[in-house]
Amino acid sequence: MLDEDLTLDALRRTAREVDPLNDPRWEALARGELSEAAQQELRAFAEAAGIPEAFEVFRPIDEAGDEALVEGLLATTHPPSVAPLASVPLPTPAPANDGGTTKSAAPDEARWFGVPTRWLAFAATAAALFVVLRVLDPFGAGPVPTYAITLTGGTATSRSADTSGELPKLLPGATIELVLRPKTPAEGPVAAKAFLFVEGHATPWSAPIEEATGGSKRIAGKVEALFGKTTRGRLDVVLAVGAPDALADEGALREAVEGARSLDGVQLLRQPLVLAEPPPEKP
Amino acid sequence: MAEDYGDLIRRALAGDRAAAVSLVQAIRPVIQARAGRALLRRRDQRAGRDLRTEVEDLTQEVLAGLFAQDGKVLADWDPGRGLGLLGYVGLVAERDVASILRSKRRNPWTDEPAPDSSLERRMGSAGGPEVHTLERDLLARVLERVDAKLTDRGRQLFQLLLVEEQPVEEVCRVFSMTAEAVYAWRSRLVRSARAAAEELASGPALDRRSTESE
Repeated sequence: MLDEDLTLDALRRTAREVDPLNDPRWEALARGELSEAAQQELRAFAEAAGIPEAFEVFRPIDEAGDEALVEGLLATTHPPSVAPLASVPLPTPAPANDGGTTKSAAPDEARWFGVPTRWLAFAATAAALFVVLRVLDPFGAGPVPTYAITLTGGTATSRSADTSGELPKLLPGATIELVLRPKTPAEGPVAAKAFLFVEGHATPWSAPIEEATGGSKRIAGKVEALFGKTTRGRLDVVLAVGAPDALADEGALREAVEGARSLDGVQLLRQPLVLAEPPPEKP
Repeated sequence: MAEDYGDLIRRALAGDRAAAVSLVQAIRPVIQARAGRALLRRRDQRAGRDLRTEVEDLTQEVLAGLFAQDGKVLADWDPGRGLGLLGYVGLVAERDVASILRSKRRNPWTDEPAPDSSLERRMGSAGGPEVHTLERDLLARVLERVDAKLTDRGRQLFQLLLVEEQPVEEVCRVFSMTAEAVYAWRSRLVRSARAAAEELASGPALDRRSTESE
């Protein structure tokens, strides 16, 4: 390493060698250019490198997905005549192999209001996003985007031998955070109601639900404060998400959570977990 | 191929659906690869998220940015500058993905993903039998120390300029940097690497490893 170039060259070679994400096969996978055998080899490589999720991340987006992207992009660059929001027809997913197009209309300009700032950075692209996500979103029959639920906290200090399978275990004193995140920013009001599902029965859960611009929702706090005297053990937290009207009938919601019926326009996001018993009091 | 891509871009931006499909099929994997790599490097900070969904969302957003404002970013690609379309899109994707991931607005409860500075795990798992000589071991440790001191932008520059050897001029253009700033950064990187090497060479850790390797 006598001069700058030698130093840089050494760093370059080392970075290429030690970082499995620099392997050019990942991009080849995204291109769909790897044979089945090469894919298996890459899977094994990812496992060995400690990045087993890489294969799923770089797996190519299929033809239908690319077509849907194009529909959205063209809706931005060459929007059809603007229709009032209420009359915008929602496209349906294009069949994978027919090469057909999905007709869609640009959203009304009023839709720009309330769009989170991050999306305003791509202001001219929002029409495309609107259309693309409708096409890709199997739930997208209305202004409520698809939600995902994540649970963090609660288990970090667990030292119990009782693993209860793979379920997260909420320990007394722990702080948890349940977040409902829309796949795309919500375009209208989205409500949420929480239930606890224990041994086949659903009961409303009074944990406070915070809301944020864009439709994200959160329940956070200490386990004791959130769950109170709920029976310890295995249970499901179930969050029902939908337009406010869709969530109006609590009885129907409860039946839906219990699996007795389905509700149009309502997503049920279920988080199984184990509420741990408090430690025995010391004498 | 550059001329073909130029024509493809013009036709796609003019509304030719077939051209748009061809264009997306060509550039989408580049964007997906950049987005995937960025997400995986931050995966420790994104526990519980569906990485596949994240990579699809990021890919879509970067594509949308390329087509925004009548395809201004795409139209700015100039093959005469020496970088092919896919390389250019890769640079733009690298820039935009980092920008998106830096933004806290996507989810108000998402902390800014700290870059995965731990090369140690990658070294341990991927270095394998190739990284077993003392020189390589030292270099890997130097790299780990250098990486730990890099900013988010520094990591981008490291990846683009060093690992991928992208042209300085194009990196400057896409990232709105001056060549002087890039060269200054490169000099700092070299100094940092040399300082790390000197530390390691004089430290007990290397002595121990030297003994082990004998």
